[in-house]
Amino acid sequence: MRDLTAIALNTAKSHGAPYADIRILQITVEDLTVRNGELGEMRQDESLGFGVRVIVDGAWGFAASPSLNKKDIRTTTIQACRIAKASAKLKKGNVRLTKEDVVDTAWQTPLVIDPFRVPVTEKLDLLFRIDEILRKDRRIKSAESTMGCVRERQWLATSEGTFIDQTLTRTGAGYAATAVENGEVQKRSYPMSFGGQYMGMGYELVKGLALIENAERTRDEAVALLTAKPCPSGKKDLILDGTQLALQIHESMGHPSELDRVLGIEENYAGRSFLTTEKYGKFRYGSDQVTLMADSTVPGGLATFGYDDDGVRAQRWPIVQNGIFVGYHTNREFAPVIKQNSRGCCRADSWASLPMIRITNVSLMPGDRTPDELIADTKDGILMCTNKSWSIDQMRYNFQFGCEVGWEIKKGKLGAMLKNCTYQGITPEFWGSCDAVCDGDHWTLWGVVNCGKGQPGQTAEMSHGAAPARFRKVTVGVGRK
Amino acid sequence: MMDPSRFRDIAKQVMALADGTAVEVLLATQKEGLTRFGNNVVTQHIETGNSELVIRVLQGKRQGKAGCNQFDRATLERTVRKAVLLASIQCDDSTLLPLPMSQEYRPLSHYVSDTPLVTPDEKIDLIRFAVGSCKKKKTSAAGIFSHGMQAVGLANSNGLFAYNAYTSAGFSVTVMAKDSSGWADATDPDIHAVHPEQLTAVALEKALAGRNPKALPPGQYDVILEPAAVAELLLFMAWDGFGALPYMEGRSFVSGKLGQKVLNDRVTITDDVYHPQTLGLNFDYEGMPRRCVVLVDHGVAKAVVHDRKTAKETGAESTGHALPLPNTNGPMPLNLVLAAGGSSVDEMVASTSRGLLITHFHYTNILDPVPLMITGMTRDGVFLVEKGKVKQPVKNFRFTESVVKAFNQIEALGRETAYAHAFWGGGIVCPAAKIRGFNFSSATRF
Ligand SMILES: [Zn+2]
Repeated sequence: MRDLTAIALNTAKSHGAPYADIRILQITVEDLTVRNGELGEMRQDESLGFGVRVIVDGAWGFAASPSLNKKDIRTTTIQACRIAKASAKLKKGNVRLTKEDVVDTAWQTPLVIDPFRVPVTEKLDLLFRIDEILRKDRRIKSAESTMGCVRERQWLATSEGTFIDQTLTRTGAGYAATAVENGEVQKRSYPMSFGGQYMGMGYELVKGLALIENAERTRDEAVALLTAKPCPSGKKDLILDGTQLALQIHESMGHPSELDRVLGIEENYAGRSFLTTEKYGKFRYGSDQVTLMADSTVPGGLATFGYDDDGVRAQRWPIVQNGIFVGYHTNREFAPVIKQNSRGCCRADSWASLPMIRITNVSLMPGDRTPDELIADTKDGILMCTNKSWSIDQMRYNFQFGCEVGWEIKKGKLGAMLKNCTYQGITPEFWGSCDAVCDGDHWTLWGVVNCGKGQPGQTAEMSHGAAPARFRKVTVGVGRK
Repeated sequence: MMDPSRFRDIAKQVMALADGTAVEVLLATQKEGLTRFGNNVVTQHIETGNSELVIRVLQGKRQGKAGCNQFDRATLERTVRKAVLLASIQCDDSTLLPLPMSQEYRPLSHYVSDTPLVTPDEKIDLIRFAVGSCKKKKTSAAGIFSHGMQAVGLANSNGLFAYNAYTSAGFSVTVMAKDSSGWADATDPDIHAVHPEQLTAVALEKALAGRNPKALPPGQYDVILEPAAVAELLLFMAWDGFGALPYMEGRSFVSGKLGQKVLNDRVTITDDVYHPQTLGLNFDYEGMPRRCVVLVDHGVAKAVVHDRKTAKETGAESTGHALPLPNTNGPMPLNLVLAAGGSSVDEMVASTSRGLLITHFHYTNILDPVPLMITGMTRDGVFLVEKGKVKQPVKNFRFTESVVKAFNQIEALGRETAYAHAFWGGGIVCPAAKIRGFNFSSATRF
């Protein structure tokens, strides 16, 4: 590969680029879905290509191609230089990258069982067994069981001398049962919604998920929801389970702490952030109980890697420390704005995409309570589990989430099941109302595999660890029919 | 970008490698240039292209599928082998249909040859000119200028061959003032029909008009929605309402209601890829001809869209709306058109005693599929209308509302339609709409 990467770097240099990098990427994907006793999805795809990023006249240029040969590497690199030169006609200052260590190294996701070596028959057999259990009630009109794995091998070479051969593997599985009766539609998923639980590890994850063991309960809860009480409207104390908290963290803390978004780069699509730079280091984002750490080194995270696409090493740093906002997601281009080195958050979703700041694994640090204690000392509340719907405004203040299921909490005891659960809040007020977080025994790293950002849109993966937590006097039951 | 003759050659090679097995070859090929700007300067600027092949083989009642983006003999051989192996380990699926025979297609060309040819320099010059006006007014522009082409080819061992390409140019701009923003967006197959300067002027005017917004309490308001906001509501009808699968499973607002009045008289919705304002293909991902389908006629539910499988199960005919097989969504309308009415936005404003004029919505999402209960934020310009006049910019709201209820309370539709994207994508042709009693459930801080 070094002979190929050298062609791009030398061509860029001779076309006036003081900085250039090339990523050659080979992506292998396998997705299997069983729906209602039939094959719902089957993908075994491979994709190979390269992207060249250059700075010429102080501006970026990027071009990509699937044709991995000397001639096309040369022409694609020249095109990237031409794009950069054109872009330099409309710039404020020159792009300046932080100075980072030059490395020549390799890294790969640690695995116990390579998911690509597990026979497809074994995987399909598991999915069909789950499907059979889910459909044992006639009111289940849609049963979907999914399993997937991805391997990305990337060779990154920069004009500064960095060369990184990195292989990332992600694996996951899950299922959902949808019950329908008389115009009522209710869904339950396991272990979490939108495809299940995914992690940066091998097939050992799937083996440990207890998928079969939870299928009957998941099906029965979906059916029970058809006749459950609707979520009441008003202010209630709210306990969220870890899977819902994962998405709450993602939307209300992950995205707002992306420095490019703060600076207005994402304005036209996903919007900005209220966490503007004058708030850095002093803004009260949440209660003392709230500490959020970003960590691209945590074992099993979907955003766990050796190096990002800028060639910067994976790190762990605080985003919120005891309620105070203290950290951003950054890359080599934007970190100088806050006078720091890069936090190593620059990632692209394929060889054809431009790397940009992406959320890493951001987790709510465990507290010292247990879920039983939390329920026992809640007088009038709701426990909500598993995300169903999510939405947040363009500054990341006003959010509204829907959950698959809830349970009333009355005088310290779990009561009736609730359907169509929703809650709404304003980010700093909501996290400010957090008065208890459960302990490390109840903490899990949950995967998000559908994080969209950028134009053209890119999809990234990351994990968010959380244990159940309680929030006081939250608006629930929005927009009831 | 792979042209039809090269695709034909590769499809032939694949069929030879499959050696008598029934095989379908699907090609998706594209080339794109996209320039992003923010804070009145260029921030990202890329050119990319790719061609992907998906090979689906059928062995009786079993299927296997594999994909690649390299077309040398070794890769094609490996990919065919993978698909054949996957088919061989399946259990029989009694509902699996054989591949269709050769079809005839209604001609369709949303292709303008100039669109892919614009150079990086030409794009930067247009953007520079457009954002110049924002700099002068001490506002900041962010957006994209994109151009490219896409093609899909489908060939099978029964002799079916389909190939259709379209071009697309897009300019989208958000202009930020201190406490307000404005937005405008256009997409067209012809790059000469997209006018960055005019669009920026619209967004700038909106941003300036929106300064010093006042906070109003959430609650029910009559609303005048510009086409982009209407498209946002229609997208969820397309995804959760008009496909045969949610219809058959009782998950759609039209389940069990074909032939019945489900929406207001003013509402006629078709899926029509042949509409001059839309973009798309004249066949579906099985190779069936894409038909124009009337889904709602003056408020009466008329039909849902089908692929061959849902058509067979319900005794209907395929309407040519299959997604790549196999899939979990069933067929889907990709080119919704809400028919124009007889009003204009100015007339809608003039007829409103108290209401809100809304530019577009942000981050919409579904809460409950049958009433099509959705939530989302207003964005880039909300204005209070009083006694027939635009009075005052207001701060943004969150809405939580049933699309079915809202489409039953439409009081007027615009005379002109536009092609608009929703937050989650898609492209929908629709006019502006005036809707009575739209529910805003909370406010935000800006
Ligand atoms: Zn995200």
